[in-house]
Parts: sequence; C-alpha cells; structure tokens
Amino acid sequence: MSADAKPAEPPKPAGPPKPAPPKNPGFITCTIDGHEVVVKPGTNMVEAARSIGSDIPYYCYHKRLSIAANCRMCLVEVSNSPKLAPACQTAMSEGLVVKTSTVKVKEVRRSVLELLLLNHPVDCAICDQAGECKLQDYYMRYDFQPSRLEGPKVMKSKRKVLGPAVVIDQERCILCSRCVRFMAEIAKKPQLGIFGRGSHERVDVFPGGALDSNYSVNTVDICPVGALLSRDFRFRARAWFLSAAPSVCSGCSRGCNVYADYMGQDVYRYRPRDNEAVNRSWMCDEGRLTYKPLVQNRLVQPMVGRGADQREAPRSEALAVASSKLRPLAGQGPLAVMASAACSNEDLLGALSFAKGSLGVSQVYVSGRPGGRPDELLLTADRNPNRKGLEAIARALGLGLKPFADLVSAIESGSVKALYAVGGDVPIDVARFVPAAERLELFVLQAANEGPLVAQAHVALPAASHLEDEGSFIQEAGLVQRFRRAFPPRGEAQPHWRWAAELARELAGTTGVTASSREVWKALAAQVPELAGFDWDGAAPVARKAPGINPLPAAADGRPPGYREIVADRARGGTQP
Amino acid sequence: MSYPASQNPHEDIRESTYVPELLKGMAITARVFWRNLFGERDLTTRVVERKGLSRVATIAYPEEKPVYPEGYRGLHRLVPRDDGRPRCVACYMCATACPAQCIYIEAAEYDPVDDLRASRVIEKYPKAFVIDQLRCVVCGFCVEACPKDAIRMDTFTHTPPEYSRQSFIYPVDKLLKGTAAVHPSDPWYRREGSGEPAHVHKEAHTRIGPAGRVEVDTGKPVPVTRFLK
Repeated sequence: MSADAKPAEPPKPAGPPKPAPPKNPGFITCTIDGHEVVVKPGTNMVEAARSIGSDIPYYCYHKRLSIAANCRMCLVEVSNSPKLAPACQTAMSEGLVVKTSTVKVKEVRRSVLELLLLNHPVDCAICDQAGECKLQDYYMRYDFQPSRLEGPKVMKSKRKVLGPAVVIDQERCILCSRCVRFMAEIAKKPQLGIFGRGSHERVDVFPGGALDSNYSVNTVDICPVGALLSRDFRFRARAWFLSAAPSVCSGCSRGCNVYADYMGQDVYRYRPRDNEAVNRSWMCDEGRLTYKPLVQNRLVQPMVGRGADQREAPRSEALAVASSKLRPLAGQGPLAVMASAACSNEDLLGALSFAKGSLGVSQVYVSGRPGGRPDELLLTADRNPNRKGLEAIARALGLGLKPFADLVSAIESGSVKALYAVGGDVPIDVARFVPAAERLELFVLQAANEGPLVAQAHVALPAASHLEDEGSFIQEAGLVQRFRRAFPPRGEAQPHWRWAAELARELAGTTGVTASSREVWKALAAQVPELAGFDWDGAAPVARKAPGINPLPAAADGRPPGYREIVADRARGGTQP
Repeated sequence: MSYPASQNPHEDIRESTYVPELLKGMAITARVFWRNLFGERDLTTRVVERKGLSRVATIAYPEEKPVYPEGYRGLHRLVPRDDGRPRCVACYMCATACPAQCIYIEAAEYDPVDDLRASRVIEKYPKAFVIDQLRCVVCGFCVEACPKDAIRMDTFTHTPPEYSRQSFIYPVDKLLKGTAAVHPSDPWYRREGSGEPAHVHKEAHTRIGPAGRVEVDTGKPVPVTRFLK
C-alpha cells in the first residue's frame, strides 16, 4: 500500500474552548466566599481561605505534614464539581469559585462531627486537652446537638503508655493520623501505626515497640484532640489557667522558639513556637524538660559565708561583703572571672563590662553546662544556649576566652586564688570541681540554682532565670533571638547584669545601668558588632493570646482560682521532680 | 401604720406628746412578752433540738436550731461514691466558676491496678481539695458547674464557728461526708478498668443482643465468636 493511498485524516473536532488566560500570570486567581484571592499555584484551599480570613475547619491537615484528607471536616463547595471537595487536598485553580459556609457545607460538617463524636467518650472533665481541644471548639461552632447513638460506645484502652513521654487514650482518638505521619515524615522513626478495622481502629505502637524517639511529645502537640498526652504535663494544670510567654528553649545551642506556659511563678510546660529558620513547629523531648531547673531547686536568698558558716543575708549585706572582699583584689593576677555560656546577652554585657572595668581582668574562663549527644533533627551537642553570644561579647570587649580546664589547673597551681563566677554551671561534673573551689580564697558566685558550688561560695548571689527577664540569646547559626519575661524573679533573685551593676556601684562608685535589661542593651550592645544591628524592641515576639477560648489566667486580684497564701507553698510544690 | 400624707408630725399633738405612740409600742412589747411567756408561738416553724414543752418564739441558737428550708445552700460537702472515695475527678470546673476563688485543687492519678473498680476506671482524683470557707460567698456556682455531681451544698447547716482562721480551711477529710450518690451513667458500671475490655467486639455483641444468636467465649485468650444457625 502506497503512502498516498492512506485516507486523509479526518478533521479534528473543535474540542472544548481554550481556557481564558490567567488574570494574574504566574498566579492563580479565584474566588472564595465572594472575595477574589490571588495565590501561588499549588496553594490549597485551607491556606487560601485563611489568607482572606474565612476559616475552614480541619483536624488531619497540618501545614508541615503530608496531606491525608481523612477527617473530612474541611469539605467545601466548589464550582467545578457537583460533589464537595476536601479543602486541604485540593489545590486552587484559575477561576474557581469556593463557598465555605453554605447550607450544604454546614450540614456536612455537622454530620462529620457527629460521626467523629460517635464513639468519643466525652470525658472532658478528666481530659488535659479540654480548653484547647478542636473537638470542643468545632462542636460548639458547627454541631451543638446531642448524640443520637443508641447503645454503648466502643471501649478501648484509656491510658496506654506508649513510651517514656507519651500516654494515649485510644477512645478519644479521631484517627486523623497526624501523629503517625509526624513520626514517619519528620522524626523519621515510624514507631506509630493505625491498627484494626472500622470502629475498632486505634493508634498504637508496633507490637514490642515503644514511642521512644526524642521527638515523641510533638505528637502530643499536634494531636487535635486529647488522645495523646504528655506524661510530664498530665493532670498538672488545666489549659485555661495557663498564660503563655514567648520564649526560647535554653536546653541547647539550637535555640528552639517556645511558649513557656506558666501560672503564678511556675512553668508547667514548653510548647514549640513556629520559626521557619530554627525549629519550624517542633522541639525535642529533652528540651521540653529544661524548664524544670528554671523553677525547681532555686537559690532565692543571698548567702554569705562558706560551708558550715553559711547563712542567708539581705542583698545589701551580701553586696557589701562581696565588694569589700573583691576591692583589694581588683586588677590583681590571682583574681579570675568565669562566665557561663548559658547566660543571656544582657547578663553577659553587664557582667563582663563589670569584670573588665571594675575588676580589671583581661581574660574570662568559659563555663556552662556539660555537652551531650546531638541528634539528627534539632538537638545539638552544645547544651548552652548562648556560647556564640559569650564569644561575641568577649571579643568586642577585648577579653580573651580561656577554656574551663585551664581554670581548674590554674586554681590547683595556685595562680588563681579568687574567682567571680557568672552562672553556677560548670562543664564538668560539679563534684570534681568542688575540691578546686575549696582551694579558692575568695569565691563570689552568681547562681540560679542551689548546689554544691553554692556551699563553697563566700558570697552566693541568687540569679534570675531567663524566663524571669527580657533578653536575647545568639544561637549556634548566629541568629539573635529575643525572649520575653514570663514572671518576676523568685525571692531575692535578680538578673546577673543587675548584680554586676550593683557590685560595680559598691566597688567603684560608678553608676551602672540598673533599670532594665533594655537599658543594658541600649548602653552596651552597640560596641558588639554581632549585636549592633539587632532591633531589640522590634524583634521581641508579641505576647499575643492563643486562639480559642481565653478565660482570664487570673482573676481580679491577680491570683489563680483557689490560690491563697496558706496553700501557695503547696502550689509551688506542685511542680513535681 | 399609715398616716395621711398631709400630716405634719411637728404640728400633730398626738405625735409631739409621744404618749400615745409610747403606749402603742408598749402594747406591742407586752403582747409579745405575754405570748412568749404563755407559749403562743407559731408552731408551723420547726425548731430542732428543743427540749421540753417550751413554746417560746425566740430560738436559743446554737442550742436550738431552726430547720432550713428546701434548697437551702449550706456548707459544702464532697459527695462520696458508693465505695467511699470522692466522686470528684479534679476537673477544676468549680475552681474555675468560683467568683471568690476559694477552691484549691491538686490533681493526681489513680493506679491503673487500684483495688477499687471505680478508681481503676476514673484515673484522676483530687490529691488536695481545699475550700476556704472564709472566702466562700455561698453562691452555689461550684455545685452548678460540677459535671460529676461531686460537690453539693445539701448539708442544711452553715459553717460552724471556729477559733482560728486555719480551721476554716476545709480539706478533703472535712468535706467528704454524707450519703453516696450513684448514677447509672457512672462509667465504672460499664467497664472493669481503664484498659481495653477483654472482649473487643463488645459493640457488635450488644447490637445483636446477649440473648440472641451469637455465642461468645471470652474464656480463651483470643475471644471467639461463633454464629449459631
């Protein structure tokens, strides 16, 4: 058969008309609830709707996890389909019209909630999630009708211990699979799975396994209901009594952004705060427990004397004793200064300026907490939040930094006889440093916690923790991060910079900055190139209320319900070890 | 006793001499005096703990006490379960609702293998439950807020006087008293503990009915459901 014998191709049918060119080239233009929205291609409907302020409810969607679209809460009406579309899974397309609050959508939301609540035990009275629970919020907003279930609910395990930090109540679970996806995708340790069928499905660990990843408590944070619970926080406080202070975790040099949830002068938990540059939405389990030394076993009163002679003293007396003992040694060789890499920039600015100006030292020994094992996601080996800050400030002030080991050998050889220490942490086992501290003829210590070093100090001054003062850290990548004050310092404690300024006043009669850490920053930060460009006020995270129900954290007289002087001591003891 | 509105007491002889009014007052006093003396008390008001046949109207409190009316909001009590422990699950609803902030609660967890079935099921209990009766304004919001019928004000008595302020701080052992409350909806009547029930197919089992056509053998480690013809 020759080529020309081939029958001519029939003319192609006209086909559908070509779509109109995009209204905004490179972007998707669509309509949500009557508002025109311009978004990047690939943006899903939940994020697009949020940008114009119409909230689409969801349980299983999380912006940092893969899309599961299994809770069906986010179904919305779309113009290109007769059926409702899951908003979390559907990307916006050109010219799409989305309606998020039509009668049909509302009816479907109510039905979905009824299904999710079918076997839910509704034991909000003993549930730690109550008050920040999406089931409660959405029930009040979209469902609000009694259960129509006849007969008993399916019963599952109500307190199964999954690992060292997490316990699960399988009855409360709505099977959104956020936790399963988190462990598989972010923590990269797929320790959780969904087992069973139908209404007997439950989230559990694999047989013989345990949820022992260092990121397991993140599953508690992302759990939209009260199924996964933190064993540390469980039953210790109701969520509506807690206030949240935007802060920075001081557990390692990563500097994860956190909310410190506190009531009175007690922190109850850390929650990760979104920061794309540092920790995204996560933090490690080890870091979550670092609030404990900030509230437990605190030094709250200045101590004067050493060993058996040690006694509590008022601030003025402690300052007088410390300055009278430091005065003859200022500028002499045997006096050394030790600064902890766990102190904030403001503390170090104040204390190192005092060390250089009044004590006349040219070198500073670096102390801090001992290092540890890093892990693959966030936790770093250096367990001090501000080593970069210490290095930058010492460099700017012209102070040399010497390792801690040199200090121990210098004390043992007798070349250092007096020590002014900023921060009570040492990078070796404290018991090994105590014999060296005993040899010191003068030991002035500013420490936040009680411990064997306090017993060795001639003058121990109680320091504030970073939750008790405004300030900043420089984390390992060189980012300066601001944290906010949660509550005033305990007892007689005050920040390192204020102790240093008061010592300087006693010692040399100079009028140091004693007003606030902001004044310290304004006076001293300009000389440090790493800090000079940092907008201290502008970078402060806004202490804004969490979304949802916001009852007053305390009543008119500033005390939480049930709080009274007589029982206040027990309230403080409520922070368990 | 009514007066015409136009009457000026300063110009009225009856008023300005005081004598008729004085006698009128004396008459009232005398009437009550004689009635008390010979006992004409209104007997519809009951007085408890009165000894003898006295019908005197004045109640010699605290030796004698009137009976408080139905619905009287008296001293709080923590309602016990039928096994004697408090029904309270330390949910802090009362402490949240309390306008006087007089309730202090510390929660703790029952052992999953507790001796008592209800404690195994309930998980949470108040390690400390303290009411400061001096701060309390007896509004009854705590009773209304309680989702577990665990606090009531049905003691029909008020806070007794004490010699020290500390004695008005009522801990659990002072509050836990009275008759137990039992509700069929209490979760410990539905399950043995907070673990998963031995028979996981309970739902299907109940839907068909225990006397229906399904026989369930829970004796074996793995439950076996056998359908009968």
